[in-house]
Amino acid sequence: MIKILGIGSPFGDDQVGWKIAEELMYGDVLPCFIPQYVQIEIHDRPGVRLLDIMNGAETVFIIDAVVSGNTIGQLYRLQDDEIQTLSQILSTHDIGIAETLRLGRSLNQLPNTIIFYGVEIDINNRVNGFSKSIDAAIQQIKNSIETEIVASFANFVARSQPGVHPG
Amino acid sequence: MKRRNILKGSKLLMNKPIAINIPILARVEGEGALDLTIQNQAIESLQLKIYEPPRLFEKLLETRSCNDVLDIVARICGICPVAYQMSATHAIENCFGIRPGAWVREMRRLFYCGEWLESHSLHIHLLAAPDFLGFATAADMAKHYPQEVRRGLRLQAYGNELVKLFGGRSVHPVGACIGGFYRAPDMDAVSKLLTQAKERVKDCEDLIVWLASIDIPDNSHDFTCVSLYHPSEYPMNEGNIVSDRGLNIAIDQFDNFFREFQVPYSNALHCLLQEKNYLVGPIARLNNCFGHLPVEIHLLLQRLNIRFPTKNMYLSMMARAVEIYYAVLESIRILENYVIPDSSTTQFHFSTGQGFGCTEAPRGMLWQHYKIDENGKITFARIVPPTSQNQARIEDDLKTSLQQFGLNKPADELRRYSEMIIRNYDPCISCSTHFLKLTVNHL
Repeated sequence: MIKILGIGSPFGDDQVGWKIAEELMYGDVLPCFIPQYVQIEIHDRPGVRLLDIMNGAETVFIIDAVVSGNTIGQLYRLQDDEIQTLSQILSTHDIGIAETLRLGRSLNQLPNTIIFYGVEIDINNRVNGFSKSIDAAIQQIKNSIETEIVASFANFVARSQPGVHPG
Repeated sequence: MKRRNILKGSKLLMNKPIAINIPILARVEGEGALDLTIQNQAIESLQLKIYEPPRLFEKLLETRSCNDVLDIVARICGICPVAYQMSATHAIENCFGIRPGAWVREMRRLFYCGEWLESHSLHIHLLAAPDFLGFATAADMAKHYPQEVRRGLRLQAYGNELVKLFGGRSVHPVGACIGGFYRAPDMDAVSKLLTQAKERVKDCEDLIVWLASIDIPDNSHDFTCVSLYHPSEYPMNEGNIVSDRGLNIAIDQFDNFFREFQVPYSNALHCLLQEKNYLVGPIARLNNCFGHLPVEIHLLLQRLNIRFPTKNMYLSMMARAVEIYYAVLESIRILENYVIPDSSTTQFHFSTGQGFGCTEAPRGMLWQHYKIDENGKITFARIVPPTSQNQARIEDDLKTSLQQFGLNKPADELRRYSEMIIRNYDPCISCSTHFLKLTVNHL
């Protein structure tokens, strides 16, 4: 089971995690895997509830907004232990992800793979729409996650059918 | 991993001037700082600075419909939205002369049980216990105490479910309205929660037994405890404002005895009771209302030789654990008696006037006052959260505790000890700005 979690709040650029989750849910690629193999959820600053939310999944994609002073629209992809650097990068929901994942690791309560996708946002944009450079980032992350998931299923099929070799 | 128990201390640094700076106090809600000046082994000045920007919620509420108030005030805090909603709805109902029936009254208590469980479990397991057990973070503590942390997360998760039952979600719930709730939970959901609640009783007892096994020093100070008091139940939504020094007033008399004022170094107002600092929160509630706890809790505490009332602030975790046990037992009582009501809310008409509301947030008494015009619009709003009320008490505690701890200790120890003292109060800075970097100057 793969879970895709869009983290955010209903304000300005901070909605980016929710928006990407929504794009994936209604896109052309993932719906055929939903809900048997892929679940997509959005959450408003879940804190330690993140451990419960990830429960039962082998792979979790977390999508969240990031504020680090880099260029607006900058993309981040961090996997497993790399996510600990989040406390330096500072996700906008900082009391949530990095600290909660550290807690989950101490409790041996984490999925096999956690992949974090982040987008640098303009924290001062509190209006309804996204900052200009965010739109492109949304499409890039959507495409990357779709590609990763399709590739992982292709590998899974290849492994479970030893006589068939891709390409 | 090397553990450093702050309470045990280490070697002293004699007569060596040092300067300490803690940019941001960790593991508290919001942003604040502490400035401490020490001269000749005495504290010259100590200022708890809440620099989180003022959030101006009271002004934002003016001109809004009273029907919008509950959803707006729920946004003041991600940890205690229920408290803001409950004090607000009681104040508005007080203005309109509404008296919601017994069903609404019971469900509000159940809703509040959820918030106490969420907030207290978080504070004990992720914020305060690492200090008392000598760990830098909750994640470090979880490696050594995995079962205890998992138990805390189970209790918190049960609280989340209770808030979700009425609020639709556990963060910034939206189900409460003036007069009651937008909808009544169905029997199936109530039945599932009752099963969960009964499974949590042993967790509550084990939590108290575990905390009783931790070597907690005596750090008793002389202070006044203020809380609501209800003649027949442990206080949540209703009662008079009382102190353990004889105060007993109706909630609309607040301004006759309490004074809020601005200090130049903090964005949160201070509040004094007859010009003296005071404590609100779990220890204050337990000290004033201990007799209203169920017999099961009295027997357990007696067996473990844990006594209330107390003026030992280090028993703050224990006080929260006792209230966790109470919240689970109270939720069982309410869930067992649950019936689907004819209506989950009370009809009302706007009327001009003013109303007062005061309920017990997890961190203590939360007082609100509204004035409303003939169209149901808010013309005046005032919110006095528990962390602002505790600010002067925290400063006083720090002065006494740091003197006892020893002002000639290394800078890092003074910093960690100060943070521990402050965290022990579970301050919610986001609430009160309407919190820590520490600068210590040895002169």
